[in-house]
Amino acid sequence: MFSSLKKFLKKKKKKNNSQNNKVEHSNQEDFNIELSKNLSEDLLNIEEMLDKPDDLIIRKFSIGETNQACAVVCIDGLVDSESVTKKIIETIQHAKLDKNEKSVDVKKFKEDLTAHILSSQSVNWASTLDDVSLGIHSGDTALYVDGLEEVLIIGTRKWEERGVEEPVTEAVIRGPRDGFTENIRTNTAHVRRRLRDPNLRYETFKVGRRSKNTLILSYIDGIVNPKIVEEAKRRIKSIDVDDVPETGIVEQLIEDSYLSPFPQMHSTERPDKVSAALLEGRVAIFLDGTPFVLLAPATFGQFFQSPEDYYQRFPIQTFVRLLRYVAAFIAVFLPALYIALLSYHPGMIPSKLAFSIAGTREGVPFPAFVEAFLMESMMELLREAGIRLPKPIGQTIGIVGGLIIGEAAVSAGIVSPIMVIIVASTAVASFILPSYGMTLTLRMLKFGSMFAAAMFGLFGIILVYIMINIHITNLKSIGVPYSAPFGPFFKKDWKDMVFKLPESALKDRPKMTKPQDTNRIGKGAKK
Amino acid sequence: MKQLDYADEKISTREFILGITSIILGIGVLSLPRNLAQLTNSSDGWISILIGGTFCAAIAWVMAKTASKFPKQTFYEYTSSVLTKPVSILISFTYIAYFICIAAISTRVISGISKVYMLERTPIEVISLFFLLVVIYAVSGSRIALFRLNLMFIPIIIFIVVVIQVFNIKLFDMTNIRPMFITNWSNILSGGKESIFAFLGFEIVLFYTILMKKPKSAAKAAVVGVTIPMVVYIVIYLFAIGVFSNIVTQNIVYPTIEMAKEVEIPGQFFERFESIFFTIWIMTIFNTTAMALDVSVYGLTSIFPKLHKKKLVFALAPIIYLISMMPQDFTAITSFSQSTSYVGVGLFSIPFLIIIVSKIKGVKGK
Amino acid sequence: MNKWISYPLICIFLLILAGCWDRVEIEERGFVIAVGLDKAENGEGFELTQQIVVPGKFGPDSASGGSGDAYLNITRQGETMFEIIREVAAETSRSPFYEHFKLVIISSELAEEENNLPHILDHFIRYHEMRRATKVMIAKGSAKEILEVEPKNERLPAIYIDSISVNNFKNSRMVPVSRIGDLHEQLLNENSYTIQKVEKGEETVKVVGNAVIEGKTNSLIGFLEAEGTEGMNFLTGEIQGGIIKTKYKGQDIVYDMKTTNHKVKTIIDNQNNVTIEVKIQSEGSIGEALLPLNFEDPKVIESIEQQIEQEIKDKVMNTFEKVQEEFKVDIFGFGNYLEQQHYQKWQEIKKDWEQGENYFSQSTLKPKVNIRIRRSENILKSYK
Repeated sequence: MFSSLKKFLKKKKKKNNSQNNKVEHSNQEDFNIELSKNLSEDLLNIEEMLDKPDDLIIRKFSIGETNQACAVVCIDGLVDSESVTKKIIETIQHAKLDKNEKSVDVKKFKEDLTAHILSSQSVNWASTLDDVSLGIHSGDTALYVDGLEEVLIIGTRKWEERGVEEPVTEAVIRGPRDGFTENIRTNTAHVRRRLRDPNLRYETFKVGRRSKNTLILSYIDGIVNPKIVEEAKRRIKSIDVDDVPETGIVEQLIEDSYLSPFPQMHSTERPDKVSAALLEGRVAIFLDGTPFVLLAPATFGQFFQSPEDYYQRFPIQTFVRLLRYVAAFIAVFLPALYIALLSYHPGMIPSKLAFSIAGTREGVPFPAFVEAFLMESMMELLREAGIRLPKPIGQTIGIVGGLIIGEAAVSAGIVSPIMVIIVASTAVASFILPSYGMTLTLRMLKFGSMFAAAMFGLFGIILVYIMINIHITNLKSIGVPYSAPFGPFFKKDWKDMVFKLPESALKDRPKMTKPQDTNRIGKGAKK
Repeated sequence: MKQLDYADEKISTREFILGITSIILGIGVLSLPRNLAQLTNSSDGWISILIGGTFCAAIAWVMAKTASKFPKQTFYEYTSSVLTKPVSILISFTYIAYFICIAAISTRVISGISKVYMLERTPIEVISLFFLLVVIYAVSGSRIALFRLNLMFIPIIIFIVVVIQVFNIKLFDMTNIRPMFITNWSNILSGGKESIFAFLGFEIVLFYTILMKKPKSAAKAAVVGVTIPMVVYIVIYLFAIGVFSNIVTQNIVYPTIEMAKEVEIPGQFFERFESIFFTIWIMTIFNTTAMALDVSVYGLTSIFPKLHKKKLVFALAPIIYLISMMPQDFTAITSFSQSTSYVGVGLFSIPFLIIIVSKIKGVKGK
Repeated sequence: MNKWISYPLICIFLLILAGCWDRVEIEERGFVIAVGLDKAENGEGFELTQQIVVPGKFGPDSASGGSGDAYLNITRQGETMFEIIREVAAETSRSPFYEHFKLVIISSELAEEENNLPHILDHFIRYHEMRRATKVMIAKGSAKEILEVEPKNERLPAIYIDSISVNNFKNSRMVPVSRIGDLHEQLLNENSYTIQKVEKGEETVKVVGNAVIEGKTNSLIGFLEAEGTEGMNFLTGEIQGGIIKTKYKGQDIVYDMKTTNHKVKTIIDNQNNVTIEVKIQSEGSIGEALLPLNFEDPKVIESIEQQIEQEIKDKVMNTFEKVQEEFKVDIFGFGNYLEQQHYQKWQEIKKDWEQGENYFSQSTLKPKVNIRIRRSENILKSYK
């Protein structure tokens, strides 16, 4: 069934791709224009290309005291206008040329410009209109000089952005509180500040046919398995869509199985998580415009790790790890078990409890699975509503929904009190997982297992459990088995996947990513 | 996205061992204590298990040795290079039919027991169908994933077996175990034959050795793979006799499940432990069925390399379903599985045949 | 290809949605927790009383359910158990459900008849909803009346009786519970055995004493009352605790058994005379002393110990002789020890153990008792 569905989706994809390719070709023919020597022609071209928008600034002026015309082109709001005025226009206007001549030797001026005149740290020569457009859209300023075939792109980026804040989705009690921001440079700097390793590599890609967003693939040379990097690069290069606004889309475009409900890459807002992952031999994918960084390859167990596990005492965190696995089980199977036990196997409930449950359900008109579906859907509604609503109201919704509706439903005899307990504990359990992506997956699987339980009781539940396991063992994340270290059994990896042994015991990097350098701890540190 | 070439697609020794264990553990052990208790006195049946298990381990060792002599050839290829093509096709098809029957019997028995213990009124056809659908889903995935699945399920299965024995210690009566060594040898040996039937399935070593990372360790792995279920069987058998006594064990249809029924969880957290045990045991039987189906698919693809694996799975599954629905009652299933077992025991001769003929002909593996 | 797969799938799902064959909601089930069996009035067949829970009385607001019993006793007559049970199903709104079944009570009148016990128990052992841990008791008198007792601290008579029956760790005269699974073993072995006896008091029920069942005919041949039960418990090693009262210097002293240990050795000579040596070891403390004694003096302790040992020996011998004379059946399970320790010999005398020659009633018992008083509890003397 799945295979046919896959085929169907693939066909559609192919069709879309071929259509888009045609469109792209025509576009590129339009704008891939070589720049001319003539200043006014060039300026006209760029005006025409952008259709004279209000925020396009074109400022013409002369070099020094000569009549040599030149112009800066930039986009208002993306540039630091003070540095454009002071560092570019003013310096060029006041440039002292060798001889106080009326005309300028353009060739020589080109060399002088970067060597002596401009103090900006980032300067690049661009020769096509396309490059110029990309430059000014990135917040750089284009300097046109009449008579020159090339345009100088000067870095003047500055725009309003969010400051460094504590990540909301991955809060910790103990540990660094800085999170990534929407600025890719800030983000890469965060990681550099933590890893002063000269082997830390940042490889830049432009993704998005129209958005031309910056994507950075990061890894530590010498640790990471080069095949993983190769594969990641190949996949990133294959991205060919209009826009890639968020790493979630990158993930969907490069993951191994797009039909799977499981997240196959780990997204995080925490720099410490990224640096730890890089040291484990994984790669990180940064994207400009989003604070979420992708970590790959990811395995199932990784979604149960929180950075705090490493900062707190290890026995407690081992317990917490195991607790998370139990919580995941509860989040998926508790409502299903409720249905199965009540409708199919009441013999499994201790006698007195069975009698009292039967007593409380006496007036309930629905069978257990209708009751469970009703309450679980209600819970999902409340959750979704809680996200949308502004924060203060969001909390109210929680109270109104959880307490008042639950209480009312019980006293109205629509659901039994036990059901409310089940729904509440399921919800609590699903929020124990550090990864929101995995939480969403488990929430979805919960409904599947409830359906199976409604049909076959425990038999249905075990079939669902087996199916989830089959799926996980078949799944891969950039070629690494998703079920490692359980599926392909790596004894050493259990130290930091199932348990959390003391830091000194974690001598090796995870084997599942097959790192080049396996040793994490120097010999001196052993004792 | 394309799968990577650096990802492991070969079976490690550990996965190989647990694969053998998984296909052996299944429906056999549910009724084994009864069959043995009927043949032996007191607790002597464990000697039969030991004899049967050791015999099977020896056969498995021979099979693995044979297969690892041809580390780069599939079963079909090396048999045809030794025994000529038509004979090889005949043998392969016998094996394929045999494994299909194993899958069908497992499906039927698990559905039958599910019906008795859990789903009284659900038609057996529906239970089998859904069980088979899950098996198909597993087999149409990658082969290595199936082995990893065994790896993930076996600890849970062993755990549940241990839990049952631990909770039954309170009911364990040493007087039921003694006196020991009072059965005559002919009965012990016929008990041994009975327990060989519970070990069948390890013949997969003939087919899967080619997929191993280190085919040389196949023989050792095969022996370990048979020994694990042997230990499990002996423990279950001794506990069944200790808890029920010999005479009661003889008269309970599925003593192993009934033993789970005896379990009382301290604190009465939940009751009816047999439902839990049985639910977990479905995983075991799922493993058996999936492996049996996979090995027959593998056998067929090695004969007809052009056939697509998924198509084969979809073609074989209805056959298994129909075969599993054929027996009408308990005795019919028993006699069907008996005759399948005899075929399996008959096929024990194949590796010896291969070895002898290859010695005579002087065929060597590449 | 797609169509070929999707159509059957849709059919399957429709089938399933219409299905859910086994779904019976918990509140729709009639939980039978105990049955009582009496002789039918017309003399043919059985009269079966099923105790069914009324869960409405168990809810948090049982006030809304009004007053009344939390159970319902339904009595019907018939030839076989299953028949009667299914007959009741046709009459009540809730189908009888046996997975919380705890107790079978059989009236002595029924149990006295030959082979009635296996006939009654067959269904309760065979049917898959039953557990092997279900308890069986023999009622002196009517079983139905016992299920109608109104306990003060429990809502359900069956739960009440069930709880009493497991209290044997505090009372050396209480018989160990007879689980239906164990009875299955006894029935198959044709052993003689005992079943807990339940008796109706004025407002309560008492679970004291044993009903003795003869193995060949499976019929009740008499009762072993409290005294005898105590001796029997010592002989079978089932004793888990309890007290022994003895006289010392004319005053009562009560010994509280904490742990007991029990070993049986059998000897058969050529004339098939069987000697049974039972070693009983016990450790415990002084629970009550009606005279001030010096418990620091080892001699005092030793003489008390001897006193208690003698007391136990007497009890054991009394019981054994009573059983040998009155019932002539091996309810202590010494046959099993013979089988273990002298397998070949046992095969020869097996048939004449309880029947024919009845070697059992000719056998001699040699009890060896060893008592250790470990403590005198919190005080040495309570008065001068």
